[in-house]
Formats: sequence, structure tokens, C-alpha cells
Amino acid sequence: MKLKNLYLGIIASAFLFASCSNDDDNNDAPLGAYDNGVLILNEGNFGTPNASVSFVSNDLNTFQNDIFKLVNTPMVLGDVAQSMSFSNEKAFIVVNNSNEVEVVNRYTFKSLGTITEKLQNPRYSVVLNDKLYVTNSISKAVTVYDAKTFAYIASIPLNKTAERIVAANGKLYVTNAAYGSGTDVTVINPASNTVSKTITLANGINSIEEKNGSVYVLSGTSTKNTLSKINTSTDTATSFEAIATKSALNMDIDGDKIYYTQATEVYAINLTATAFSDKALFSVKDSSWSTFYGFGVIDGKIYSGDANAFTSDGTVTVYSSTGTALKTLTAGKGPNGFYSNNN
Amino acid sequence: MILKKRFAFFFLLMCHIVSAQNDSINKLKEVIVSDNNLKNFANTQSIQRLNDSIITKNQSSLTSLLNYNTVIYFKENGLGMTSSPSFRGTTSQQTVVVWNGININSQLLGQTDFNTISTRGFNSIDVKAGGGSIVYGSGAIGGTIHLNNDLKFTDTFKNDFQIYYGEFNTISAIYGLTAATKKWSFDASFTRNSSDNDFKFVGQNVWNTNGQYYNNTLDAAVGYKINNKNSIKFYSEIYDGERHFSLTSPNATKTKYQDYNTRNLLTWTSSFNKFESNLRLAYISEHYNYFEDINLDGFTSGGVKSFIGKYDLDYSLSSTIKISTILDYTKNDGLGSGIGKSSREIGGASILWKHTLTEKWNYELSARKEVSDVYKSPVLFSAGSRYNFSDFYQLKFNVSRNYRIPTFNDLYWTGSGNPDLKPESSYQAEIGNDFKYKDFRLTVTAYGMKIKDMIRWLPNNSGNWSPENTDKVTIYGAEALLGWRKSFNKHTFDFNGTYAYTVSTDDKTDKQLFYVPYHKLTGSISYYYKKLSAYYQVMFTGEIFTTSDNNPKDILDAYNVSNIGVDYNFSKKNIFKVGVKAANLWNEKYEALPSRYMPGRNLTIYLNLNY
Repeated sequence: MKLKNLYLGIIASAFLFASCSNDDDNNDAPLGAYDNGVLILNEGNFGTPNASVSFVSNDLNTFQNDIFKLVNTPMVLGDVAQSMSFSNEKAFIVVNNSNEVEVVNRYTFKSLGTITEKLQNPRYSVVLNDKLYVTNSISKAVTVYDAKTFAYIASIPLNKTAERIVAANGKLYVTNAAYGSGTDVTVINPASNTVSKTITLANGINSIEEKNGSVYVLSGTSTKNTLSKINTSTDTATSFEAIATKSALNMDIDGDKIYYTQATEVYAINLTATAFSDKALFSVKDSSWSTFYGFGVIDGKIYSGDANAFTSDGTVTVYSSTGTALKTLTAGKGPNGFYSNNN
Repeated sequence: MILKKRFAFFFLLMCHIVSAQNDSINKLKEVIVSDNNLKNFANTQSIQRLNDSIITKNQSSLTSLLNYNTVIYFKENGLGMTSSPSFRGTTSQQTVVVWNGININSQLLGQTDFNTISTRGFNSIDVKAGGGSIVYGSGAIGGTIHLNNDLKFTDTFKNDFQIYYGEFNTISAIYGLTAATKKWSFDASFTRNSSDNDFKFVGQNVWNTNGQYYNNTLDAAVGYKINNKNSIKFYSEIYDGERHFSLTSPNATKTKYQDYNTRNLLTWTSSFNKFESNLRLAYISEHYNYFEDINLDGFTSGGVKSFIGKYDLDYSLSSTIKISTILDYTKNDGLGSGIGKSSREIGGASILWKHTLTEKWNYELSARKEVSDVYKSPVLFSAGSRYNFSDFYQLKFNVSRNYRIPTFNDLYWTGSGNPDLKPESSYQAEIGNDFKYKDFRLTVTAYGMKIKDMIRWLPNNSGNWSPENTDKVTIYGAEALLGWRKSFNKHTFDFNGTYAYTVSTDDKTDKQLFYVPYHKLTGSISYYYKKLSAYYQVMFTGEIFTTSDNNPKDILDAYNVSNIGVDYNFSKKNIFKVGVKAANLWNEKYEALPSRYMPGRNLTIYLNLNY
């Protein structure tokens, strides 16, 4: 949700473009099972509780919008669904502007509960050892919950931006960067719920991923791109950068490849790469603004979520690794993430 | 609720009250209007005047007044929350609010929040449809709203006190003092509005939370006639308000917003030989504080201080030709979170020509060019003509080019502002037909306009939001304004109605702009009998698209909201009125923006004193 920071600046735009109603006449019956597919998180319009989740099967043939509502009416998911994390059969949907984490069964999508305690503009979450860790942008803290009972356990104050969070090697890695600026990754020791280290990397951190026990961090600014790999035993990083390429975003690791985007282009490099690629896998037509508002790579397929400037339903396009459009879907408002949901 | 019981009782009572009086229609003598140009150079467009009796009847916010009495559609984020207009299918920033002749749209946002203007401090409010950039500057594309403190120079000493108390602990109070001699005139008022605003949503078990607000407005106007040829006037307004923004999901972080605006204007009017000159110096400031979380001390803030100097010189070339030039200079200094410290200067020159060819036929021509250190401005023009075919019918025609400059936020917002933005500009034309027969008035206006380089904030591919000159829009439509007054014996009926049909399409997609309803209708009927007066008003807004693709699943339903009120004047000579009104009489469930529900039926009791 990139709008928040600009809220005052574009309060005018909020008048103009604010939101869309949620009285969807979707009379579809729930599918019953939402496994063996991909969950698409549609954040919705800022200020309007119209976030939604869509489902598409792995073969791309079965598709359904608004599955949370279909299964759980009259509950509404809320205002700006920012991200999702998983633990066993549970999915934790972080609803930023509603200050809620909706917990559902990831395969049936039945609601299991709502976490609200100590949430202050929650952003991202991760589950480690049956505990749910949620970053909060207003309190600048990570809040901790029991992932089974959803009871609040503790808060870990960071006193600086708390954005994305991953778990690796029994520790938590939180990016202290948002809206294209910020240099740090904070390491949290979950045994003591304290900060064990701050790792300083290149400015403009926007993505963090865990793979094979290592943590990969992408920084992109208008002057250079930097990819850092954190050795989670020593919590030290090795980096490489490129000044020819810039404004890289949306890192996602699938198999042994690191994918990312630059403007309307998709790139991929090997996990072992020591340099950025100067050749795009493919590029997409800049049909509107925010073409890659959502981006994800799952089993070699590339999912893009075009927010259509938040003025109408988002468009999800699924590409092959060579850029052939396999499927185009009309999802909910502002599709921002793709989550593999295999049983 | 106690008020509800009284409500039923009052309806019974209404039928039995037999002695009453007509509402005092304000017939001002020796009035000096605050804005000469509106009187002199707007004869070929449509102007609707809302006088003080209409202002008094409506809620005190400018949103409510205009919503129920004009064709303007309002995007109101819940009662009392931020509210912006769409006039003739244009955007929020394409309607200008003009305070005593000075454009007071926010320099930061480019628009006025119509819930931060309290109406009861003004003598009259004029609604002028169509372009007006030549005289009123940036943003006068859809139309202009004129807030007037008119001064009268007749011996007067009047106190005015009005208090309104309604459900949700809603209080509106105004105290005003008018004192005048033939040389001096003084008019001042203080208005206070506040509300807990915790109404229940119609048909839901949900209450409006964190919607409380208050605002205070101090208005003052002083005029002094130095001699027959010179007069000085000073106008001042201070607005101080705080609103909590109501929540759309129950656990959301509570926020609040504070506005502090000041407006000061000194004018010197002088006439000599065939000249009349008008020097105006204005200093206006706007300031906001936004609390992202009301439980925290931190807030972001910003403001702009503007100095405006304007010199009008009118010259009567002959008894039928009047030439006017306007020279103006504006300096805006902005400071705040997001925009840093920034300033801009604008200088402009306009020339206006008015020629009365015959008693029946006149035309007006005008042009304006401005120079700025920030943007390039097009040459603006306006041309219009009026022909009186008979007492019964007159025809008006007007064509103009207008513009809107980028706001401080558009230009300077850190990391997002776009210094290369061009002004939005429009070409527009309209034909107006005025029919008049006895106490019946009907104005039917058809118009069309093209707007290009519309500025819109869009998310871009580098993951940021930034304003762009993007859309082209074509708008056409028609408006009808109807007025009819009928008296027989001691009964008087006054009927007013407005209707607008608006087609506003994006040239690229050929779809209706969202938040522009095709249909809007208002109607009011007032009844006066001796000292009793009663009114009923209705506002219908057609279905509203909320997405750029006009997706039917995201349409907001049409709504039809009615208010009713009745009051009785107990005083023989002056005004001692006690009244009651019910807003949203039929308890309509409606929202002007998604998830921004408006209150159901609610009652207000009021007392008006004027001595």
C-alpha cells in the first residue's frame, strides 16, 4: 500500500478516485476447496473496506473472485489487504488500514478468527515456531501472537520503519525501508524477542526473500540496483550492484532463479549470480500505470497484477517464462500479491 | 430518542397553527456588493442567487446548502467529513469558491473542502455555472461559488442570534451584529458548529464512529464611504475547525484533521470622471494539521500564505460601452510536510469589453494572459452575448477558454511532485434561455466543453505515485432552474427546482467519468401563512459510477432525500422564531461515496432571534 504515505498529498485524489463499493452481485457458490492453485490478494481501495481474495487453479482453468466474502458472508475482509503468510493449514491475511489480521483455513477459506490486539497499521507477517510475527508501521514494532490461539504475546519495538519480514535460520529479518528509501535490515532473536543485529545495505530496499537458509535483499533506486545476500549464520552480507540498471522492484525467488522487474520488464538471474542481467526475459505493454503493482513467480509462471490506477478492477496476467500471455483475468481492486496454495 | 416523540407531535400541531407571516424576504437598499465583476461582467451566463432566507433554512455547511439547492453533485465522505463538488461533470478542482471576489481554493489541493465553509456568516451566496477564469483565475471551469458579505449603508442596528440543536448532539449557533449609518457599515458574525456525529447507519447495526467535529468562524466586514466618490471596505474571516475522520472499518486507526484559515481583504473603490477603480489587497492563509493516529502526539502539517493584489479600472467609453482592465499579482508561499518550502508568483492582465448595442442586445468580450515563474499559461478568453426578445424571453450565449494550474502538492510533493506539469485547460460554450412570466422563472442552459491535460495522481512503474497530465474529457449537458412564487389571500407558495443532465466522458475510454451522476434534481416548496412558514425539500441523485470502466457491480444506487421544516414567528415586529425540522424524512439509506453512509431521519429544533 503505497498510497498511505502520500495521503495528504493526494487527499484531493482521494475525493476523486476514492474507492469502489463492495456490493458485488457475485452469486457464485464457494468452490469448497481452494487448494492446488494460487491465491491472489487484492488490496482494495484505500479508505474503503473492499479488499478481496481471488483464486486461480494451477492449470489456470478455474477462477473465482471474492472468495473470502463468498465463504464468510456477512464478514468483510476490510480495508487494504496488504499481505498474507501461512502456517500449516492457516493463512494470515494482514489488513493494513483495518488494523486486523484475518485468519482463515487456506484450503476452505473459512474464517478462523480475527486478530486486532496491538495492531497499528500492520504490514507484513511471518510464522516461525507457531508464532505469528507482524510488522506495524505506526508503532514501528513487531507484534507477536500465538499462531494457534491467536493470543497476543509480545511487542518488539524497533523504533524505525518495520516493513517486510522473513524467517531464516531460526531468526527474523525485518526490512527498515518503505516507499523506496531505507538501508537497514533488523535481525530479531525470537527466543528473547530482542534485536540482535542491524545490517546496513544499499539504500532503497524494497524486497526480501528467504531461500535455502539465506536471505536475499533487493535495493533499487533511481541511480542503481543492489542485490545483497545475507549469510544467516554470521548475519553479514555480500552484495553486487549495477549502475546501468536501476529502479528494480518486486524480487521473487522461484526454484533456483531470482526474478525482478524494472519498469515494464521482467528479469531473471540465477541464485548464484554475481551480477544483474542486462537482458530482460520479456517486457509487457505499458497498458496503464501500475502494470506490476503485484508480481509473483510460481512454478515458472509469472503473475502480474495491474492495479489499473485503482480506478477499476485489477487485471491479472499470467505469463510463461518467455513472456507468452497464458491467461488474463479480471481480479479485485489492486491485486498486489500471489501466493501458491498447494496441498 | 426524545426528539422522535416530539416529531410526531409537531405534525399534528402543524395543521392547527393558523396565524403566521411571510418569511422576511431581504430587500436590500443601498447595498455595496463585494464583487463588482460578478455584477458587471457575467450577464451572459447563468447565475443562481441563494439569499439569506434560503441560507437560514439549510444546514450550515456549504455542502448541504448547495446539495439541496443547486445542480452540483457532492462527493461527501460522510456527514461533515471532507467534501468536494462536481459541477457540470468536472472534477473537484474545477469549481472555485470565491470569497468577496477572491479565489480561495486551497493552493495545496486546488479545491475547497465544502464542509469547511460555514454559510450563515454570508448575506448571499451566488452560484455561477460555467467558465470564469478571466476574473476568478485558476479552476473556474465547471463554475464558481460566490460567498458575499454585502454591506448596506442605511441606518440600521440589528442583532441576530440563531441556535440549532439536533440529534447526535449537533449544535449550530450564530450571533451576528449589523450596524450601519449612511457613511459607515459594519457587519460581523460568529458561528460555531459542532456534532458528536455518532449516528446509526440506516438498516445496519453499525454506528458512525470517530466522526465528531467542531468549527468556529468569525466574519467581519466594515465599510466607510469617504465621500461620494470614494469608499473603503475591509473584510475578514477566520476559520478554525477540527474533524475526526469517521472510520470505515471498526478497528481502523483513528485520525483527525485540523484546518485553520484566515482571509483578509481591503478594497478601495473610487470613481472619477468616466473612470471607476477598485483596488484590492488580500492576504489569505491556509493551514492544516493531520494526525495519523489521534493517540499519538505526532502530526504532519502544511500551509500556504498568499498575497493577492488586484487593480480593476473601468472606463465608460460611452453610455453604452464599458472597458475594464484588471491587473493582478499573486504570491504564494508554501511550507509543510511533503512540500518543503516553496513559493510561486503569478502576474496577470485581463481586459474586458461590454457593449450595449440596443436596449435589448448586448455583448461582452474579455481576454486574459498571465505570467508565472512555474508554468506556462494559455491565453484565456470569454465572449458572450444576450438578447432580450421580449419581457418573456431572453437568450444568452457564451464561449470561453479556462484553465487550472497545478497545485503545490502536484508540483512540489517530495519524491512525487512533477514540476513539468502543464495547466489543465478547457474550451466551453453554452446557450442559455431565460423565460419569465409574472412570478414564474425558468432558465434552461445547454453547454458543452472539452478539457485537456487533466492532472491525475497515478501509481507509476517505479512503485511511486505521481501527478500526470493525462486525460482528455468531453462534457455536455443541460441544466434547468425553475422558480415560481404564488400568493393568494394570505397564503404564499414559493417553489424552486433545479435539474441537471450531465454526460462527462473520458475521450480514451468513452466512459462516463466516475463520481459524475447523469441526473441530479432538487426541489423545494415553501409555504408562508401569516407568521407560520413551512418548507419541504428534496434532492435526487441518480446512480453513480465508482470505477473508470463503469462496472455495474460498483455502482452506487440513486438516492432521494427529503427534508421538512416548520417554524412560527412569535414576535410582532421583529423575529422570534421557533422551529423544527426533520432531515432525511423518509429515512433513506444512502451514500455519496462507497461505505460513507449518511444519517437517517434526524431532528433539529431551532430558535432565531433578530432585533
